[in-house]
Amino acid sequence: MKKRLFIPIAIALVILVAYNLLIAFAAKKTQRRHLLSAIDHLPPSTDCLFLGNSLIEAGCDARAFESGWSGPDSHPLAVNLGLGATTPVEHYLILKHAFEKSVHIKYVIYGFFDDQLNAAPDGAWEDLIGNRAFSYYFPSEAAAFYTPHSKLGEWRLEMTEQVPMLAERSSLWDRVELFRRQLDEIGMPKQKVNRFGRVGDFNALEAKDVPSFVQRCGAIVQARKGFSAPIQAMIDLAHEHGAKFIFVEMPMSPRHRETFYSLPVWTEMRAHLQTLAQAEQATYITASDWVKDGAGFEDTVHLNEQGARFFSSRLGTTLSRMSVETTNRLVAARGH
Amino acid sequence: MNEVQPTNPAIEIKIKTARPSTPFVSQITSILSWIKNFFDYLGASREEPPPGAAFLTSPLWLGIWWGVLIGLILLFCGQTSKFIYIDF
Repeated sequence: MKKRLFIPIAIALVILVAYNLLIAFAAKKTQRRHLLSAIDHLPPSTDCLFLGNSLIEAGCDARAFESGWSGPDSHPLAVNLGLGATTPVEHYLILKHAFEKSVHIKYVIYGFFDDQLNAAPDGAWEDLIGNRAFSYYFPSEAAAFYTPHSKLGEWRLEMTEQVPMLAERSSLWDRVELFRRQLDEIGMPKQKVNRFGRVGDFNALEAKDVPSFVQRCGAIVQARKGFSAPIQAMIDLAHEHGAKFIFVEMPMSPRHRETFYSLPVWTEMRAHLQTLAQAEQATYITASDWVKDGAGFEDTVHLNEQGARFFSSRLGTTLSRMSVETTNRLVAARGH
Repeated sequence: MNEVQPTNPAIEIKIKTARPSTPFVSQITSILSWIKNFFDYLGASREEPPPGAAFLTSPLWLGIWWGVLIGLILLFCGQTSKFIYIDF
């Protein structure tokens, strides 16, 4: 009787171990693992880091940024550490890991859109899939944002991290999803896709409608809400390492600007964010209208290669000018 | 057990004439019946495996069967997630 019970359990466990190995192998090829490896091999002469979600990943062309830099200093070496489908908590973890390397970073350029800087961190079980599984690589630091002062929350992330079929559970799900989409499209017109996913799906990243956008931003402005904890932690971390923190309101498609950014509430929200940035000695660059033409976008939110080149080059030029002005002011102040 | 048991001889004659009589159809019917019994046993709605499938009772088979089932569930249980970003 014991044999009939324990042999099947043992075999089922062996199959589960094999499944875990398969997931661990599949996870090695994910974007987040590639990013982790890129951080580990960060050139020591890196001056400038781009940080953020897919808006930065798609929108920042490091070479165009370097070539747009015009100033007496040599062109800074820029590295894009943007990672799609992530939140400020993962961005903080990326930055922290980057600062652990022997690099002297002068500028941390953080791209954002809408109310990303003030939104509370969300780290429920169902949220931490895809690239957000990056949080499991640094469980105690991530838990400090998701479940502050909770040993149980920290323990949950630590335990999950140990089991690939839990921490990296979505590594095979996306292949199943792609297969499902292939089946969906049999006999149907093909849906437009880009490097991040189905173009139509990105509409879901925008606010559902104008009232919900007004409500979200209005609540932040009225409550004079500060930056979210991970954003504040990133600013503090940058300052600790002598780097300048720069917020960039990322270029948005004409439709997004006309629908949302032309509203009075966004003007108030922007003024609020600029005040917060100033209080933290961070720079705020309004670049949401830099790419005016819809042809510079590959979907409702992401810049295409041409748009990214234009935006990055202009960002390089703008920052180099600001850098020169700051240097001149310092020299003038010393002269007096 | 669930088969109709005709009590009237006249009805029995009618049922017999209605049954498939060709060897091919009879073979197909028995194969289908075996497959049904096979899956019934897998689904635990039958106590005994069909003839020739005694391996289904072995602990080795049970382990593989449940291990593969758990693996398939884990593989396909992500369908409720909204996949906006896919790592192409």
